[in-house]
Amino acid sequence: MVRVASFGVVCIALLGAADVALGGTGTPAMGELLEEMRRMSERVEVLEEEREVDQSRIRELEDHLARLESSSRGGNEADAVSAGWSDGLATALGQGNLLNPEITVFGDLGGSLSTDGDDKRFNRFNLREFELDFRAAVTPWADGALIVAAGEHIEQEGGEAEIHTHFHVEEGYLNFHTLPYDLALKAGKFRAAFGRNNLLHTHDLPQVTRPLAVEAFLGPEGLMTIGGSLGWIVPNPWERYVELIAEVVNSDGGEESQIFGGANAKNPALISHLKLFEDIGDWSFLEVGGSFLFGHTSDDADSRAYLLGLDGTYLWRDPKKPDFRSLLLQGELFWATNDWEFEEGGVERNDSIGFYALGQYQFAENWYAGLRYDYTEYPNLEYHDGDDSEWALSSSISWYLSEFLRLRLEYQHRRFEWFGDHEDQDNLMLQLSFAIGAHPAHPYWVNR
Amino acid sequence: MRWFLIAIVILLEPTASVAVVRVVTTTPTHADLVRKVGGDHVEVECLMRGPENPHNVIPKPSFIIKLRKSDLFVHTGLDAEPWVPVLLKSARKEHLLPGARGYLDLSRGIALKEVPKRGELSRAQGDIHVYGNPHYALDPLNGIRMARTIAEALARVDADHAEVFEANYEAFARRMHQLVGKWLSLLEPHGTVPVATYHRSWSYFMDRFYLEQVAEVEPKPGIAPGPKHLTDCVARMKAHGARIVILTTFSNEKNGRLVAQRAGGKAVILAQEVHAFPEVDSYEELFEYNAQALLAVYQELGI
Repeated sequence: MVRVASFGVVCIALLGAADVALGGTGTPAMGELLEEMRRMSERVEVLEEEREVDQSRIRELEDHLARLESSSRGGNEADAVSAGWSDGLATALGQGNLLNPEITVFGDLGGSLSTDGDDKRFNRFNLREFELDFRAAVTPWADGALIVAAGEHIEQEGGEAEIHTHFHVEEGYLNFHTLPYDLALKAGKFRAAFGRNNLLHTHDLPQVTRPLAVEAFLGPEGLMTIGGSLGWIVPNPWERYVELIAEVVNSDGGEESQIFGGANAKNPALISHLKLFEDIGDWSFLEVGGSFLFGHTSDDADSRAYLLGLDGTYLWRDPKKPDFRSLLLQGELFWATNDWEFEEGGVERNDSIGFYALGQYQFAENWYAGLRYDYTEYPNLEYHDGDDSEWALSSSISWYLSEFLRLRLEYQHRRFEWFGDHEDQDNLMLQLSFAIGAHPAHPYWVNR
Repeated sequence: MRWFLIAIVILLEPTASVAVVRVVTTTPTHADLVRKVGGDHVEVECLMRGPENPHNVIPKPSFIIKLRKSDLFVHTGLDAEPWVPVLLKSARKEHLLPGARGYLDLSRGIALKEVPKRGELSRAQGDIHVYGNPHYALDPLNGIRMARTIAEALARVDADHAEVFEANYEAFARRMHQLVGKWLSLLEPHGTVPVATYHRSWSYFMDRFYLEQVAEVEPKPGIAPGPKHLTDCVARMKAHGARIVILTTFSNEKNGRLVAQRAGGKAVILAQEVHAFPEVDSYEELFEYNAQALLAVYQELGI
């Protein structure tokens, strides 16, 4: 302002000087001009003052905005209170659904064709499973989760087939995710930390079927049982991810226990898992784990079941096209020694092994091809001989129409070596899986 | 004995300020901004690689080890990185949980675009972002706002150097203002240019740099295009006189190039993150690269 005003003064002075220099004591025209200049100079001053006022108002508004923003960032509590306006309705109407858990519903439908016409589980459409997944924080350091599964399956004894509808709690637990000493504690019903595949829900499986060994040793849907699980991230000088999990659970192993003796078995069972993770550059990693399980097969303290597991997972993603090309290699080995108490009396000690090897290649953005070899013997002697075994080769192709919708086709050749005889089966299976609701969380090595 | 006790007391005395603030960020863009504001007082590690799709990052257990050593965790917020919540809980560190001192969501204070209205929230709209478009870092003026938020967070963790962070922020903001002026003057003479994008990740960038989106190669976010949609997309481009398709390093390049070719134009891959390309080493270079890439296409197509 000072600069402009002084510019005006100088101009007027110059014009005055020019007037004098031109010899006139002030012609009327020149006087008018000078007067005009004086008025303009005053006007400029007024405008400058107005601008100053506007500027200070803008500054005020900016400060006010900054205060509002800092309060929305939780910076200043006093400002936050003054920034919030109650409409007086919240209390009257209650909290409603605002604090409801996140809900995801997973649908998993199937259909199959089989060369085994007598097996009523095939050659039909299946409602494999619907899963209701509820999750929310309970406290700042603990989350709650409930996963309820409903489905329909065929059970066949002899020639008689029967439709069974199941509705069960797959997992329901409280997870203290942030405890002192780098610990996490889960309490309730959960998927046992035995190996890799057991942690997967049916809709998350990389193929239509679960590996035969997992079904034979842990259960048709894996081992889910009630108890507590304590996880510890083991500090180490190499700064690698090492996790040790110890679980104390019921020996019944849920409804479809294979290695345990059901509800009558002596409690508890112990499970432990050690996991080591190693990055190989930015785009691949290797993970290896060892699992151990000890439990009982009957009420007798001497009826023991031991299960040892080894697992390895390797994932590679193409550095140039990480969303378009990837390779997953995974294998698991199970080895069990258990006593089996027959209903008609007598105890038999049984050794059994099983394994699977899976390879999955992503050949386009939304397409995955998988190949798996399974071999298993049986720890459960209720329906099997100690010498029984089976193997299978499964090839599958998965197509993701979106992140929430997947179609999968699988061909499986299966050979049963039962009671000294063998039988072959060829199955063609179609699977349709989808997720609705909240964006689901999934294990880090599973497709997506 | 007395010296021993003094030594114990000294050892047990909690240090008033951290020597260096250890920061873990999700994206390389955040990492660059933290380095600019933090200077010598920060040590930054970034989880995502530049060419990667931030939505599809695998939350590896090795990330947990990095997080556990950090004083401050910086991420995009909103629903841009769905792998973050599980990672944070797995780290088992209270100071990194949402609302705690070492947790920073950079979307705070950003004016979001494309916030869906209640009735629009449905997967029928594809894999939509429920809180609004999270690619806000692609407007350099938002970058300045992010740097401001970072300066405040760093001061919270390391109060002793608050003035340094403030000064670094001021210097960055001044430099960015100048550069934005330069980029605008480079692109402005070409007028508002109609373009197609693969995914709706360029809204903030386009509004700043005289671009107008007239078509998308994806029919809906996260849904792969079929032949009919690609044809529609080409038709829309032609109707609006658009000849450029903007892609990212993780777009389906084949579809993008096909559409561009059929519309009689060109596809251009822009940097959506720092380190998207080896030559894009900083936040400034990201915009410099994109501005130059656009200018090159304009020249080629005579725009």
